[in-house]
Amino acid sequence: MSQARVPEIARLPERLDDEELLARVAAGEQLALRQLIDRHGRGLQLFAARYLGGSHDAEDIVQDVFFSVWNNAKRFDRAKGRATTWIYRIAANRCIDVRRWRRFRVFIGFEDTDDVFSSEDPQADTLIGARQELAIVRAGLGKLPERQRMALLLRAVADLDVPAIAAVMGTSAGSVEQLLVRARRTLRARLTKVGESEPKDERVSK
Amino acid sequence: MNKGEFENLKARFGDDIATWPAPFRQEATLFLAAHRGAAISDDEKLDHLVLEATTTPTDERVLDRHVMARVAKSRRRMFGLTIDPRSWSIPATATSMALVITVFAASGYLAAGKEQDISDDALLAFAVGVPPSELAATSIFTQEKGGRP
Repeated sequence: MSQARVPEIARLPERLDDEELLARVAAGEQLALRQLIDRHGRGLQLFAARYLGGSHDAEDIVQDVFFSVWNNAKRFDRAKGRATTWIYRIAANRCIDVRRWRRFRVFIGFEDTDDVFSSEDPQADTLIGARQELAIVRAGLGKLPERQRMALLLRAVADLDVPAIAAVMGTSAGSVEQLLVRARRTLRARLTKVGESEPKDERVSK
Repeated sequence: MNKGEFENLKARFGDDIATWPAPFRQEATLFLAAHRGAAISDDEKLDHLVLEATTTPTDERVLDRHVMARVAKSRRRMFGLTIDPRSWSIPATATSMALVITVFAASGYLAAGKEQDISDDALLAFAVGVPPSELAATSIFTQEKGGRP
């Protein structure tokens, strides 16, 4: 309902790629920033929400990311990598900071572990509720080690290739491949386990 | 994704799906692959499952409005020199801490300085092996000969 009151995002007359948009943002063109938000806002929100285990902080983080893009666009060096990689690197670092801050709050007793690391997201649960395999994958994602989860989300959500994921995570391509292999193996194992246990449960219930 | 959503995204990002941003690009690719019955690898299938599992409603227009409000606020602050108490909290805390440390260090130094002679005498007495009271009488360092007052 609130969406109807929000005006459409203004667009530049011509279609520019992310690198050109960033160059215009560096020159202080707000319309270019809005175009970047239109292109990457959703991807960044999904990435942050699933990495942190809920969408509570995701929008704030993505706001911070774009505000940082606005302030630091001049620092982007086209020769060092793609604009998408640079933007996702800012998001990944911000997510890691939030995660550390949450852990610190739990450590000093400011917050309860259940509140902070809860993966409850009623809207998302409604969306995927009908498909059990999605629920398994979502629960599995929440249980993956943080670096594996980040690598897999950067691959699946941000559609980054292995060298780009390595650049975002500040590690080697080989290490990213390992993380992806382990993450996928764990998720497949969970899917298979549930698939195998299902008929057995049905027999028991009958 | 359905055909209507696909057409909307085409109008939004252009006809070439390869230039669409993620995750719209993958969603469109999956939609087209399902229509064509094209085969995809196991890893791609799992990645699509992960993408679907992360799906949650987002609104880029709300995000846009919030970000642009922050940009406008930062510009006003830059030109109008707005004083935001929150932005002063960290420098203020750092300054007070530095002040407290300086005061403690200075008072500690002064207090220790006053007792320096007494400790020298005590140390000398300990080294010589006589009580400090006897040392005063036998001291070779007198004021007349250049000893400390």
